[in-house]
Amino acid sequence: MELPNQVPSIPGALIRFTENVPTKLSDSVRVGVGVEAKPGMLLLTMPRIGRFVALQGQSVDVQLRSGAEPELVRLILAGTMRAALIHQRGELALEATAVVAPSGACVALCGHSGLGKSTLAAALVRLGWKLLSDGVVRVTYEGGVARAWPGDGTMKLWRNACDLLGISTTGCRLVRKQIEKFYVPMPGVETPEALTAVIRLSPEAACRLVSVDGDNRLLLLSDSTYRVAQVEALGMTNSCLRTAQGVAKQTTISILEGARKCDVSELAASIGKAVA
Amino acid sequence: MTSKFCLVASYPKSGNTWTRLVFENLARGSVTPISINNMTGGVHGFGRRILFDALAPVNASDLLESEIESFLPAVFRHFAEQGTGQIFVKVHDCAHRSAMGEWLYPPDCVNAVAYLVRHPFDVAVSFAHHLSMTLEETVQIMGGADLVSSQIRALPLPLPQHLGSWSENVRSWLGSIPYRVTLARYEDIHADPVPAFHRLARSIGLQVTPTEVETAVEATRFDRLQKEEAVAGFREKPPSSPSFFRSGQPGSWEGKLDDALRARLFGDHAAMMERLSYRADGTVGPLPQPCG
Repeated sequence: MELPNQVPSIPGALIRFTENVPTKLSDSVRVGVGVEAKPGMLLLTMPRIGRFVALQGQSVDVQLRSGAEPELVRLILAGTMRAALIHQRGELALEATAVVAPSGACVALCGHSGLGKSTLAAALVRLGWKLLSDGVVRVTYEGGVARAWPGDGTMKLWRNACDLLGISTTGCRLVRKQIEKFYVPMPGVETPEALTAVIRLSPEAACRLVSVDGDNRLLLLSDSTYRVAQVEALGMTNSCLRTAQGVAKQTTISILEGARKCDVSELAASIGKAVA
Repeated sequence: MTSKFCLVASYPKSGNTWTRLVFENLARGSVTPISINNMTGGVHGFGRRILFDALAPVNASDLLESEIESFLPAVFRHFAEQGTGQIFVKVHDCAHRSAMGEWLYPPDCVNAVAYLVRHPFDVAVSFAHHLSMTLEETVQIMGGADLVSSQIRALPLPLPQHLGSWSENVRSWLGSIPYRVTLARYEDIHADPVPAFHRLARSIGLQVTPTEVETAVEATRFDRLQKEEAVAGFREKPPSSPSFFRSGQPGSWEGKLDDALRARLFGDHAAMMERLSYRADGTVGPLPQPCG
């Protein structure tokens, strides 16, 4: 598998394969298993794979071990390391799938892994929506506009979800060789879009869209941030907060109850109605 | 700051939730009963997956089961190091090591283990209700090697668990392991909850009086839990299960498990049942000492 040398959704940000990634950062804070950070730098060390360091929101240096599984390298770059670059730039890295409605409204579906964000987004795409980004969604706030940025044009979907939605996986690349999860190309949007709504999935029993008000809006954005513990250690709390405040001002924020409990078409219809 | 785990371990449907609720009430010295939905979260159920994804270098949904297990000890250690006080952790896994040779729960992060057992006849009936499966399927699961859902087509929620068979689960926790384990039978707790919970609570380091235990037992009466679940639901209930708190009565297998299924359960688990004085006719004898 060919590894990327550019970071999707961050134009100009580079991935460099080198032999000079440090083994430790001085004066850093441990923010996860094998992950430490300080202002301007985040270092991730993964056994049998290698070391990755995100630098100043501009680049990721990678030192791979011999025999490192390329699929895992790709996942680390697209997840924790891309989120680190976004945080280093003072922007929001939402754990989300962003889709664009036929009307042009751009919606970020947020929530924890396993709640069915991608499946729901794929169901919306079947209804004529377009994919913007899946996994870690970069959101910026500049000139009074909150923008979500495009990803690599694919969505990660399990075989079960593809079967449910009647999506063919023929020719799709596997996320890992050992599991039936695919990078599925989707009709997409390739330019940044003004973000109009943030909808967080929640696993209550009934399908219901609940509006979020006041300080809970910022709390929801914080809860929806990918690897949020990185932000403070990178010294970017104030910058990321300013971005979140801008996003909260410019978008409608709500919770969609019923994730994983209700039929995906019912959930999709609920979102369609809300956006209309 | 750092915290310590108290593992409340058991095969499913053996009194785990009741015991954790009593411990939580005692540890918090709560004046009003603690809600079933307000127990310490973070290290079991969906909370475990959220915790894993917050701390691991790659989300669980992109990892293989063996990789998830290899990261879990470090995830638990990181979580313990960030916390304070004692954290009660629901555990249904066998006591086991990851493929990397590490105990799933790092022994230096574990203060004590309360291990609960229940007559497998009652477990079978309750577990079938919980899983929304037939008794035949459930008895087969209890005698099988493992209940780890296939990861081929979707990652099981919240994360794969290694239950082992009923016997393997009990054997693993009563074997030679690097934890301080106190065994309690559900039937003994049910028959006389205050002294049973008092003994268990002291074994995990809670310095409480019998009066305090009595208050906690009253706060967690089965009918109260059923009522709360009916009104507010219970977040640990699987979506397919009609209710989490079903009967709670020892001997509730009667009239439900036929001769063939009882014989099969006894055939599968005779050695461990005899060790715990769980008889083939469904009755429970005195627990030989020492055990566990």
